[in-house]
Amino acid sequence: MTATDVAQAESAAPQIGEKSGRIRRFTDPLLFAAILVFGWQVAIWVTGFHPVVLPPPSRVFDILSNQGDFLVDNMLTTLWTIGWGFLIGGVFGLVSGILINYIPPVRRAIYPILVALYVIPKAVFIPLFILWWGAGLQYKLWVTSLLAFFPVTENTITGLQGVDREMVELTQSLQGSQFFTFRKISLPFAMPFVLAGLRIGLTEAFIGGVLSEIIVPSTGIGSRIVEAAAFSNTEFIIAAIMVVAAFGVVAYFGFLWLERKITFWY
Amino acid sequence: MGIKLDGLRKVFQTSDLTVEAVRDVSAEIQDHEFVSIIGPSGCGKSTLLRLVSGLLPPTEGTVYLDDVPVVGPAGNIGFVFQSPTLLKWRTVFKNVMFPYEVLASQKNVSASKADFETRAHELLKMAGLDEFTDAYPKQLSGGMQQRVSICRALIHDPELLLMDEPFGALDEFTREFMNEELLRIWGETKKTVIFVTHHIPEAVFLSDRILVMSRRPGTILGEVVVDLPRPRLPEMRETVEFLEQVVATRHLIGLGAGDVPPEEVPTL
Repeated sequence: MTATDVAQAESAAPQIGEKSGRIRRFTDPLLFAAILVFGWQVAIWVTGFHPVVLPPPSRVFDILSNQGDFLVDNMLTTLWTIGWGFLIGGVFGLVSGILINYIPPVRRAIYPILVALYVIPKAVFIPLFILWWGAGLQYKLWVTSLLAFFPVTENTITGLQGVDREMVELTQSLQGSQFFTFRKISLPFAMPFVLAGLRIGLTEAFIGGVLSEIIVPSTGIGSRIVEAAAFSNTEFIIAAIMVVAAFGVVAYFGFLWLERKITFWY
Repeated sequence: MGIKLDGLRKVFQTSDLTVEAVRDVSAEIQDHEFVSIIGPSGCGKSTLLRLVSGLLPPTEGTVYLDDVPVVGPAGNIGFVFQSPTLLKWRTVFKNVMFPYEVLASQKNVSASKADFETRAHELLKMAGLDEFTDAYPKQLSGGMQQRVSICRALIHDPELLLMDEPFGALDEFTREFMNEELLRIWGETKKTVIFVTHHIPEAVFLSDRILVMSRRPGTILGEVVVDLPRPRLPEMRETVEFLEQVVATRHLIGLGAGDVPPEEVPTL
């Protein structure tokens, strides 16, 4: 152990001020949101917009407190769709990514078709899906999983291809099998990429889940938004948007936290 | 482990390129010898190491390890690369234990896991890293990571150590320090070492013999027997004898002042 060893190891230790930074990560955005709400109120005073066009914050907060349960219930229904779509799409994305990476015929045959499926706007598919499965859960699952899978496929491929060739050679020099290399080297190495892809897929599924309820209303918060629009219930719409945003932010950062925990080394 | 290279030739063939990396390489390396292979970039040194380890099959010729022809990787060789290539998600200790896991997966282990673990601790201690046993690679400097890589290459007690420009990515001071560390570790374990480098003073400081390779297609131009006493001390780098060996090596490569590189000598 030399002096340089110790010095270099110590520079990896946490610095002063990190603790207060952690609290500010929560308070700063809330402060900013409060400023935005205030600005919103000011905008109403200044412009005198009709409450149907832009309701004041107080009315929106009324809805949030009085109909909070209703909003959350519907959001949870939507979340059910999103969650399952994300799971199905994620698993399919991971498997297809692995197959495409390791089996050249699969890559040549299937990859362009997957790109096509992803690139076509899902709105184009929706009338077809409704024709096939009706306006229920099934069609929504198709939409969300189609949206979720491709980022996972792409990132899985990228992650698997980035493995150090020398690490593979080391394993080969010790007569290790290809499966051993995959399990102990490629897969862990690809993890940060796969999880990032899943996070993107989750976001896409989230968006797609709400959107599919708006295009063909049945259950879930997107449907309630469409109904409110029919009654010009603008404050409900804004309240619903806030609920969607809140859940989305929690889901996103929650997943990010999970990512960092699992791939701590990255 | 004694090594014999007999008329080795390696040609790489892709759809649009044919590259002859190594041509007609023959050499003999004794047990416990420390041999450096030196040559310009791209001369096939790394290919040669992969031929010796059995990772690549030769196009022509044979590699003999202890008089046994090599037909593929045999799991009795230690490999150190230019970059440490540690698994970032594992601790230093688990990285050193990696070869054990590979060998165990093929039911190819000669000792128990506990024996390997003891050996891992000993190696880390010998390399001066015992306080970092449970640290992660990203907490270590480049030189420290390379030391872990060396421990990893020794844990299954291979008789042959292949090192491919292991200190190439380090600065000069760290490189000299690592050279001394390597000799210390080698002195305690006395393996046969084939050390690839393109740094002449490094080759002179470390080796018993230096094999000089030509440009691609790589072939052995000649050898320099390093006549300096062991153990090699840092001060030796500043002696006349050391410089003489460096000069001899440089001339063999064809890099003496005013010398023309071999391929550019016109033939009539």
